[in-house]
Amino acid sequence: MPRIVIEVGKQSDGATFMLSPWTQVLLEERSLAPFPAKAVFLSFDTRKAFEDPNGPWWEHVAFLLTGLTRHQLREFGGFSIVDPVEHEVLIESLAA
Amino acid sequence: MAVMAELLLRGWNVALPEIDLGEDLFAINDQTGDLIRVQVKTATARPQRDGYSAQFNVSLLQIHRPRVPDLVYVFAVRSEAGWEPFVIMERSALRREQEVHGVGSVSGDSVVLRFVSAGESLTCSGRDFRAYRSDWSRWPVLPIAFRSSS
Repeated sequence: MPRIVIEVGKQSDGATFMLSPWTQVLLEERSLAPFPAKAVFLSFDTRKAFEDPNGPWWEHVAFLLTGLTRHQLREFGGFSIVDPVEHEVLIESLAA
Repeated sequence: MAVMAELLLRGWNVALPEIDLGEDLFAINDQTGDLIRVQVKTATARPQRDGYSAQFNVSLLQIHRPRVPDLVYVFAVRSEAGWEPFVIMERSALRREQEVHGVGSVSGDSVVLRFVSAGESLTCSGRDFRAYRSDWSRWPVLPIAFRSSS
């Protein structure tokens, strides 16, 4: 599993994304903090749009939360987006 | 009520949800529309030699769920002398304390937090919590002109 973990809180009108606590620690230890955004909220018209695994927004969310480039994200093994309440992995990006 | 009074004194408006679905009140900046969800937890102090201890139960599900606007916890301890200084933590800060630093003990669907205050110190599971004491920075005092006129 990638070491960059982004947690999502689903809401009726969209979703809130935040770095997991351990990911914050990981990036702080690498002196990669402070992060550009503490949280990212994406507003969706439909729940279906949010659940689209091919949605074009996942990587952008990772950029905004971590401040890392695509290359740096790959060095961390990519990233995953998880629902911490449902214990569900929604997205696992490719590290290659 | 004590938390509401403090928020009103700082110029924020306060609304109470009709049904408790996870927060106890909403703090609103009438000028900007900013809204902060607040969960108030209360406990009675157990006297100790130099201070007190107090125990709180917090829902794990609530701690784990990121939301916008995010939740702020206000921990209120009532002692014989009255209300102790409130301990104020954003949900994300509490989540990090619990997950990274092992604060509290998990019991079913909740985490049990035990605050220990002695003199100037305030700890929870050995972690220094003084930074959270009376940390009203989420609610800066609003200029008179921006305050609710109610």
